[in-house]
Amino acid sequence: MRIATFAAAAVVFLFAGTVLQAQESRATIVLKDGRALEGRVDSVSGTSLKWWLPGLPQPQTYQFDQIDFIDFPQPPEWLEVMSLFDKGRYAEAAERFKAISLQRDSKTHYPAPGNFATLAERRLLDCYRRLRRPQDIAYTAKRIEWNKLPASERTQEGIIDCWAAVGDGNWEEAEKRVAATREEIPAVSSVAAELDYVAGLVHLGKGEGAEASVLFARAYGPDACADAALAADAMRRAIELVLADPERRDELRALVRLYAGLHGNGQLWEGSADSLKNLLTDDSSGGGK
Amino acid sequence: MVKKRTQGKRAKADWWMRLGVPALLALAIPPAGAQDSTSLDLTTAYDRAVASIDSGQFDEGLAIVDKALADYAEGAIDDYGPVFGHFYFIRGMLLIRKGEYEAAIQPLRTCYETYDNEVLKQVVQGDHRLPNRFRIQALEQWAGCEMAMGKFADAAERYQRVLAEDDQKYEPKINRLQVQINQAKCHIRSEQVTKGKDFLVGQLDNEVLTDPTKRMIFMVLVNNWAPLASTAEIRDFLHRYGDLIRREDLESRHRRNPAFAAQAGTGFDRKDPVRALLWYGLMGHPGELLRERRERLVELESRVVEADAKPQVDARIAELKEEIPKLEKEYVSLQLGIGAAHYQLGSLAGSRAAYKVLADEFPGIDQRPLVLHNLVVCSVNLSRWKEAYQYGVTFFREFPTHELKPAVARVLVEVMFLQGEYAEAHRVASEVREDMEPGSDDRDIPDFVAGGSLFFLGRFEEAEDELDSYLESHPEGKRMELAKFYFGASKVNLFQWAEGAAALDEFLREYPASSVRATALYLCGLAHLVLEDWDISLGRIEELHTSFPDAEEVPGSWNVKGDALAGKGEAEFEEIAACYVEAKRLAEEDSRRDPEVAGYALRQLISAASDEKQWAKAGEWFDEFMQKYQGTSWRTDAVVSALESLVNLERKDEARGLLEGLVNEVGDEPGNPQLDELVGSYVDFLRENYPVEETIARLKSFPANPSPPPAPLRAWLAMGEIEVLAGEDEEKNREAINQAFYRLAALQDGGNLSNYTMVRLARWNLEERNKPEDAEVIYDFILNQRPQGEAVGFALVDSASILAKRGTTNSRQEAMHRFQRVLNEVDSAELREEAILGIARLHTRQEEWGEAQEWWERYLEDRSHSLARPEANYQYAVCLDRRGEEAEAMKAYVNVYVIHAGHLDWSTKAYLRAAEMRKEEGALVDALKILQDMLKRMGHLEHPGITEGRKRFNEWRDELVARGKP
Repeated sequence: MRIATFAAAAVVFLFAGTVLQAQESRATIVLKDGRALEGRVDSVSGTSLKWWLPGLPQPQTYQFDQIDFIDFPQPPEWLEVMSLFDKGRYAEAAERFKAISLQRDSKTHYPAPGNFATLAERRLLDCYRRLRRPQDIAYTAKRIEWNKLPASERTQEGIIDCWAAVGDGNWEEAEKRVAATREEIPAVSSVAAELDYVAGLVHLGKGEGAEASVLFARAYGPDACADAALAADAMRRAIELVLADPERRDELRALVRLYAGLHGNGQLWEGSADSLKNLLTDDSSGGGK
Repeated sequence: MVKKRTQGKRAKADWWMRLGVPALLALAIPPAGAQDSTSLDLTTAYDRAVASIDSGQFDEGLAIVDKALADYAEGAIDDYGPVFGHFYFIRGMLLIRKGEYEAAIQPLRTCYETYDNEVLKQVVQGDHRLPNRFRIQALEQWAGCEMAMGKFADAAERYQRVLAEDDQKYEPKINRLQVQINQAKCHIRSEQVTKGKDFLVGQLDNEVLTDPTKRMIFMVLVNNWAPLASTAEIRDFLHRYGDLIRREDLESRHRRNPAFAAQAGTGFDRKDPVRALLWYGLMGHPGELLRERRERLVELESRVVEADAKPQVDARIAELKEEIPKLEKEYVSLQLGIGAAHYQLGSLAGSRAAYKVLADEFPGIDQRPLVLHNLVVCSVNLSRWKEAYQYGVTFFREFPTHELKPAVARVLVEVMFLQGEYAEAHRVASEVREDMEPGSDDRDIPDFVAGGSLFFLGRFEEAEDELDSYLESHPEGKRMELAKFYFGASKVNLFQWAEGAAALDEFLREYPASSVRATALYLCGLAHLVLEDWDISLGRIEELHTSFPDAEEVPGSWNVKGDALAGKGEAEFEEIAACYVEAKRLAEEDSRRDPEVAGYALRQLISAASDEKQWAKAGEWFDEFMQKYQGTSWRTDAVVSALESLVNLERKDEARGLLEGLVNEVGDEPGNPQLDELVGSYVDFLRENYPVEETIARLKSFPANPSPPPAPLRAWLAMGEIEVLAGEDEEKNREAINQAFYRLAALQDGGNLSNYTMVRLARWNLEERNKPEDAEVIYDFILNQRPQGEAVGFALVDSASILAKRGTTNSRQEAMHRFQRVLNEVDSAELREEAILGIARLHTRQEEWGEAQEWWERYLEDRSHSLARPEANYQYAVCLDRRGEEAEAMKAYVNVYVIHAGHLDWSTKAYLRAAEMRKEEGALVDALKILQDMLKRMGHLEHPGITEGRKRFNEWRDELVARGKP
């Protein structure tokens, strides 16, 4: 009981620390007709908001369907959590974003387009992508209100849908979405590696290990510099799959040494099989072809 | 020129008070009236010198400084104090900016050493002299110059002095960290590598430092220490501190790429691809920037812009258009490096991924042939056949004459072949070689793979052609050894035993150490066995056993050995049986399980034991066969071989039941030769083991399953009855035989009769019923619907005879054609004799005496021909006769009636014609002598020819008497 209370208090403390405080500074409202107006939020209701334009005595009412998004000033708490995100501390950032996403009130300007609660959900999806947690992506993707985000935040719906389908274990759907998303993503983009990783998960889910092992290579090969954690995980998965194929022994040996050399500082990951560890010291390989 | 100052000591040297860039102090107002009218005052000179550093007009600055030094240096320390050293400092900075590091040292040194602030230690009131505030900085710059000149050890010491003397008493704070960093660089460069590196790495752990500063230090380590470090050290360093770079924003990170790319290049120089990949992993992803720039360009180009904003937008578009190709080049370079590194390490999938993106997205790069080649290699080795084929074909289409084309073709097809993907290998090999010159080196491997693949696909006829062509087109072919082996093996698989044996004999001679020698020995032994070259066969098998005891062909080879010993006829039963027993034993080993080999061995053991009348052994082996191997293809043979043994073991009914079962299995397959053989065996079995009545009864009440028996089986059972009845007493059983034939005739429709049965039925129609038209229907069915086996020969000969007798021009022509077909297509000596006979008779009938003579000669030349030698001799004589060769004809006629006197049809004719010829010659007496001889020898016999002879004798004798001659 005492531990639970302490934990609850810690959570409250954590959440309390993440709660946004409404800002009074000026913001910019971008309307769907292309106009951008500087001003200040007066109030937000379910379908509209009142907006103070400079020089006018009364706030103006704008319906949400007239608004593309609002560029609200970023409070310190938001800047803080974004800093965590930018530093790659995704697990910590995710917890904070989750808390903000639950704060659906005037402090986050919810439900206005561009509100911080929805933005936090969007960032949460990105955290989960980086942490490779498809079930969490599936859960969040079902809740997020895309129409409350600026256009620039909607460009990666495709890859998120792919992750979500994987999170739901719906392999057929995931496969279709991967194929559709592949048409949208430029091949040189680092997201292409993420897409191949997701495609690898799909094939893994369908029991097609050989194909999965080849797809994972995009993340640890040409796009390793885009996301080191993804590259390491992709290589680990590939190793575990290639281990099962006796015809790819030389490649397995190469991958094991690559993992140790590039990601493990000379070692494999914790919990790796002894047979893999033995390959690190096995000198019988001829190396590259 | 030294200027004398009259009021110098009293001048306020406040020019040092002014601030300038970079953080230099300004000059004071010079002593009034102390200057030459052509000199600048110190203030102005100082200001302008400082300004020249910023403006880049270094030479102008130097001129000003040098003039100031010339005018004021002498006694300056007394007049102005150590502050005058600032001019030397500026001089040094100007020279540094010009890159003249060596020259810069002297003024900096002067600033530091000569304009020491020690003189101010005991300042008295009213002393206007000012301190030198750039002294330590001059020392720092001096160290910098030494560093630039590569004098790292000296520079390191110099920096140490900077740090030691930095007391900030007179001077502003220096950036100690920067000095320490520079010193660390010098340590690294002057072989105090660990000292320098440890300091710098220690700063990376310093929590006080900001990330940008740490990144700066990181890069110092990259550029200075990394080239000297081992890969393990690099790996550890990047593992601990790489996130400093990885978490930087992309644009900033990207700006560091040239440094990382250079380090990656070092990795390749050292043949250490892992090292290269470590650095590649740190780069800012150029692809992501490329994507962003391309999208931005599209957006800007499509934007509607106000006139006043257009120049700005256009400028940005121009920037992007310049930047994008550079990013593309960088991206390509990165992927080529990554692809190569993974390739060298054997990381196929990683290599493939890099090359694939290059192949798909950058089709115009110079390295495209190499990219496609490497991609094909990776795809093939990953067993991604379709992909390998796709890119291989792309290569061939885009680079039809490239030097790498043969390599691509070779890799593509040979690896597929080695992987056992024979269908794919054959298809791709056939395609890739289409535009290669036949016999060229390029075509060597594809030609080999085409032939070898066909071999493994079991398409031996095609394989034979391909491999034959390979051997001829590529006399120095790279795969000659295997091609020769597959060629020989194909011959064996096509049952071309003599050619196969010859090819494999040559192979074994030419390649004593071949990896396929074991298989070649086995196949060669088998071929020689069929050719009855017993000793050669045994020799091959012996070598196989001695040299390759573990080869997979060894179990089967023991069967070959047993067969060869049996064929040779010199070995005892035990020795032969031991071979089959060994074959069975080996075939039953866990690692070698081969039921067909074991089944065959038992089949031979049963047969051999039966031949030796070792009934018990035969029975035991038979029981073993039925228990373990009746699922093999030898079941029928084993049962038939065991019949006699089973009968002798009083298992007659069991044997009969087995035969009946086998017959039932193929009872509805009229064209199946097994039905023919089995019913034949069954009928023989009944005849040998049961009385005739019981045999007929069993044939009539055959236990068919399904019941009633299918038509083909009923036909065979009827045939069996006919054989049994005819064998007992054909004439006595004529009625029953005819009844059986009528039943056969009723079953004939629908092709229910076997070929043998149809021929018997046709001949019955001809010989017994005298219904050639019914026989002809049957023969036409055989020739048109089932032209296989011996029946074809019978059908041709008999139908030709029918047609010949018909007598029309067309029918004779067709008859001639069919007789010729027999000579071209049939091996049976008996049928060939009939054909020659038929042709000779046709020509004779058509009075084509020349052709007829040739054919009668041909008939007579073969001493084995015996069906109609008397007729042949007579007709030969007739041909000579009709062709006017009377003397030869006479001899031939005499030959007939002398040698074939008993064949009255022909000997009488010969006698009569010979006599006639003599009479025609006017030799009536000789003619009568001939007839007299005939009557003497044959007169007691009844024959129309003899009657005619007697009649002529009487007539001609009367004629002679009438002429008055005795």
